[in-house]
Amino acid sequence: MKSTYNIDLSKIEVIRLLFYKYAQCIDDSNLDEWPNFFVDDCLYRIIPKENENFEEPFAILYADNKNQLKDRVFIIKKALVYSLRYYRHNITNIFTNKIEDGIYHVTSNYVVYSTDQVSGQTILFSVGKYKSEIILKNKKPYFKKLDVLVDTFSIQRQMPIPL
Amino acid sequence: MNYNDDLYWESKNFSNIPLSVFSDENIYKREIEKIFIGPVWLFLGLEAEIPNSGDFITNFAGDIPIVVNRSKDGNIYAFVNRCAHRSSTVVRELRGNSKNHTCIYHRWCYNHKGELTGVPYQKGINGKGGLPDDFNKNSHFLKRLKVELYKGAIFGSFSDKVEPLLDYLGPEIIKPLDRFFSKPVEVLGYMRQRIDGNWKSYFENLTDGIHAGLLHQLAVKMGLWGSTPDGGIKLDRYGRHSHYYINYLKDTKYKGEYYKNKFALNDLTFSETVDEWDDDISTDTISIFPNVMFATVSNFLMTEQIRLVNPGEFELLSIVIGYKEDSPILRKLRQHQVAWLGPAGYVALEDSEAGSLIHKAIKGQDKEHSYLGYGGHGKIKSSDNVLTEIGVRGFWRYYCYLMDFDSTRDNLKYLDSF
Repeated sequence: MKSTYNIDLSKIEVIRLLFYKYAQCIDDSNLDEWPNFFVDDCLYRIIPKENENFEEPFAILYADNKNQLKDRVFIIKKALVYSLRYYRHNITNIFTNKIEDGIYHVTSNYVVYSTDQVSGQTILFSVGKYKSEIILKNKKPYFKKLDVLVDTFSIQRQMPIPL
Repeated sequence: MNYNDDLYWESKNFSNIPLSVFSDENIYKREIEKIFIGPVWLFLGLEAEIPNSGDFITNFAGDIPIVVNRSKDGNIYAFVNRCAHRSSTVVRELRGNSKNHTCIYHRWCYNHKGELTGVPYQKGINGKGGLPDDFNKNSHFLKRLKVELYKGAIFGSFSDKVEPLLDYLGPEIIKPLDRFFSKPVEVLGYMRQRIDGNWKSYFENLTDGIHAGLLHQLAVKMGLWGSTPDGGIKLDRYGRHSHYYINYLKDTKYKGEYYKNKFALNDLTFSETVDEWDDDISTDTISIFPNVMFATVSNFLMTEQIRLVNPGEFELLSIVIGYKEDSPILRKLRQHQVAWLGPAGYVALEDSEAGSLIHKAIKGQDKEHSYLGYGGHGKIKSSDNVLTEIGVRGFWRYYCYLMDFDSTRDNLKYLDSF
């Protein structure tokens, strides 16, 4: 395990870019690309703050492989009825806590605003933290695990689109 | 008090609902008085949330803040979370365990039964200050709710006039509740949604059988039910509660693979089903007037409580449960099946949207009404199919009975059971 201060800074920059590209992908409604930020046997969970202390924290959105992420995108586009809104992510405090066996353990904060596509009004939709495990394949970073730990555990209306 | 007694309810058979009931501030106040602190049983939580002595949860009865806890005697008590002294919040945590409950403002201390056990400076200091000589702790308890349990569910009531819980539920509701609580349960987690809409439009949705095959296209495409779902609705003797069940499409149970080609999904884990109850039911929802639904979709189990915020806003609080004896595989499947329900659930997220859509549309149109016609305008009774709004009419009739509007008092007699 390397101390955080001894990490190759170019790799830290690559990881930062992963978060920014991830946010851009969702915010630009380019959801088809969203699963490609993950490895095939990934774990993606949205966990409300009030569930964090359970032995196995219950997720309100759960996928344990990339196919399930692809399916959600497909279902969002083809079948679901929900309030039409744009997301806008602000991701900050991206921090590599440790590197172990080639896995980067990275946390960051997020703020997501949501804008109603009809009324044009914006609300502060969700605040929380990403807790991730990232691997580099051919120098490109991918999420092996991404837990979205949601402070705003009473969710405004619904959460069809991933955070 | 005299809240909007001139509300004019035109329809004798509860097929036309005046829109003002969804938005009017006075009606909302009257609902709290006549319904939520009236002769009903309100769902307050699950015993599994507070298994040990001193365990507590905070919750809302309608919009009234309450505490539910387990005492040393093993019994469950519920009381309003408002100090008997200066009306400050007593319990400030969401959930936890506590030997007693002390209001931080002036340190009045209550036991698990809501009884006042300690007050500072009762006799003053050196003969100065303090409470009057005739101050009696026994007349300053936290306001208690009457509590009764069915299986693992905790119900409370502010009214002395409410029927015993078993009579309130009735056999039509007890039977599916026994299915829901067929084994000892364990809380897996919570889910919440804040919805801009009126709480009653959500309750309507719970007992509306029509929309399942129309709004929820994915469930149809995945074979959870057909576009014309096969099932029925059973109402209690007053039509206030409903049990709504849908059977699996005959050829789909355990055959998720079949749909892979039909609706190009890559991974159908969430649509797989373990036969836990030895019946053909895919979706089973029990709606108990006025604030709770017990839902089973495939193997996903949850309670969903409606908590009032104001006439235009409510919150859903769901408790997701599993059975204590679940295998790790079944437990994982329940987690996967959250894909159906909750704020990100393919079916439930659409229901919350429906409530908001009504809220948006009705502004400024108090004199208009919505229409309930499916299932006809006749007697409010159980139905052997789900293409009916009869459960919704049953809800409104009992609502009017408790609200005691001048204009509906006579209409109640127009239909049976009263």
